[in-house]
Amino acid sequence: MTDGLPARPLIAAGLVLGIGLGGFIDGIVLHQILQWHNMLSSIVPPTDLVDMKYNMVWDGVFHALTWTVTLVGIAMLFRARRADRITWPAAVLYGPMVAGWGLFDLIEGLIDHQLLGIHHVHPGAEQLAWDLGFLLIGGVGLVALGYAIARAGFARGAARHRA
Amino acid sequence: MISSCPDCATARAARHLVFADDAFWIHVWSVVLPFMISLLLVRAILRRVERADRPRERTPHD
Repeated sequence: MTDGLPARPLIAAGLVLGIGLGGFIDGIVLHQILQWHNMLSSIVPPTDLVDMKYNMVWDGVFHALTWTVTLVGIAMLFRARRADRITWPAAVLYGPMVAGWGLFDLIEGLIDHQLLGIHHVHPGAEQLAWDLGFLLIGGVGLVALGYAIARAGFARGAARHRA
Repeated sequence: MISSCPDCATARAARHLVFADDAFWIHVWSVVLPFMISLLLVRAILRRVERADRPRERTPHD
């Protein structure tokens, strides 16, 4: 894919950043702005203030982890700057970031929504449809999109390097 | 008077619920596991990328 040119550190940084930022998008948009679910809302539904705060603590643990992963991604990106002696197009970073976001959605959806059932994307009568839609669009779709963006970036970068 | 901690009792009750919960460690794992598995998959993806981009060794047929 990279045409034999060194890009591993940049791909790694992009994927890890995507996992962290993808977690933030989930937490900020679905937990806080839309308030569709919280971390343990299918086990302890936030129907009163104590249960709401209970979920808030676990949302905090989730955000602390997304923050840590994002920080690791930033450190990896800084190191990648020195490791790769090629100026890649931005797509080589953004592609893996989108794929990392999708990867996290896919794993989180499979474990938390399907296996453990600690929360669902949009609880209610049609929660399975929402969960499957999340896996398909937010998971598989973003991984495929990220892969396509990265591939195009590598092709452009390799052509530029050969010229 | 406005208290500096208007809802201390509820927050204390919620924290007590979190830490006294028998399933506390299961909940910790349910938050941690998606990150751990995603990062393990990143490692696997990177190994694959590296293998795919490694120049092929010449064989006697080349």
